[in-house]
Amino acid sequence: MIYVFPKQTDPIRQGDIFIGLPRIDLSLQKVLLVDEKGERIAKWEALAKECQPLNIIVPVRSVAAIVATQDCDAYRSRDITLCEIREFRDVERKSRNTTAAKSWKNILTQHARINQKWFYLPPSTQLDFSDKMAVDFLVTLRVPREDLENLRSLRRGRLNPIADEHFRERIGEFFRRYPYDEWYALDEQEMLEYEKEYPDAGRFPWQKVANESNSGTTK
Amino acid sequence: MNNVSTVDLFDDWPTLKAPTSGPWRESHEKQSEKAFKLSHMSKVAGLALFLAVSPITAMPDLWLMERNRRDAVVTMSIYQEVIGRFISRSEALRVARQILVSAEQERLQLAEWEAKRGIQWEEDK
Repeated sequence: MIYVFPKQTDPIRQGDIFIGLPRIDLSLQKVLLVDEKGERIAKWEALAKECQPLNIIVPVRSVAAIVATQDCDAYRSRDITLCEIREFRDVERKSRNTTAAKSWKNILTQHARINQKWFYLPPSTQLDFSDKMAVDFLVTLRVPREDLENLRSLRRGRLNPIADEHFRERIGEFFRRYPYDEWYALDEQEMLEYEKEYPDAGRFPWQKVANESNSGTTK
Repeated sequence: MNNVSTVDLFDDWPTLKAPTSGPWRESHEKQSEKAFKLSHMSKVAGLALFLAVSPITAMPDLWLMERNRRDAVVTMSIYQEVIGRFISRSEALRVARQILVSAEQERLQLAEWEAKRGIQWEEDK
């Protein structure tokens, strides 16, 4: 499919797929401190002003991940950033019951039209991907570069040039997004429909003016 | 020769006495022994009172300030050590597990919420 399989000695590059890297999850409400006195639980708010390093217990799960750091930084930076890879059905819940090829076609090709938060990875026996998978841009991991270089045995593959180019642009677009209120340009009728689904959407001044002027014309 | 030495040299200078007038003036020689004792006791009492109230004078007491500062440091040190609530190792591990599971569930919930928005591709079947 869309993968190539580099030699183990090849340097780490963006698009490299590793199976079995640690994903750490933190809670700022439940920080598990550990020292010679024992274990304690505290809120990070109470620890934020602490200047000395603290030792804490964190849960970790071994996951699949793809290198997000661009090639230059992957060559010399201290840390490498990766994005977690999970089953496609868990990342894009619209597909949780999808079976028809036509529906899959629509879901998997929508990148060309809309900016998604995932990148599709097809199944591969060589990568041990038995089902459709997805890169979740929202979940990142950070590992030391030298440690990762010493663990290149965990690298199962790499995106081929076409997929790699697409991945590079997609991840760039994802982090280049900016937040905006999507209803800002809707007219009165469109806004009424939008508000049925999202009643909390606050109208912009020009939408209020439109509403008043429409009301005036109907009188 | 500076001014201080000059004072020392003229230590035997005759004491200047204020001019006296009126009946209140008593010579030292005429004071009774009782009066002398009372005067002495009042001086001792005054000295004792001065020493007793000296810490609350307007002068900053550096020793007291330093002691207070050290006390504050000790208090802060103790305060830092008791941040958080002590729990057992097993409870810590249970909470850690709970954090991981919650994080994964919350990501799934967000994906569910996102899926309800936008284009519903399943409608194309």
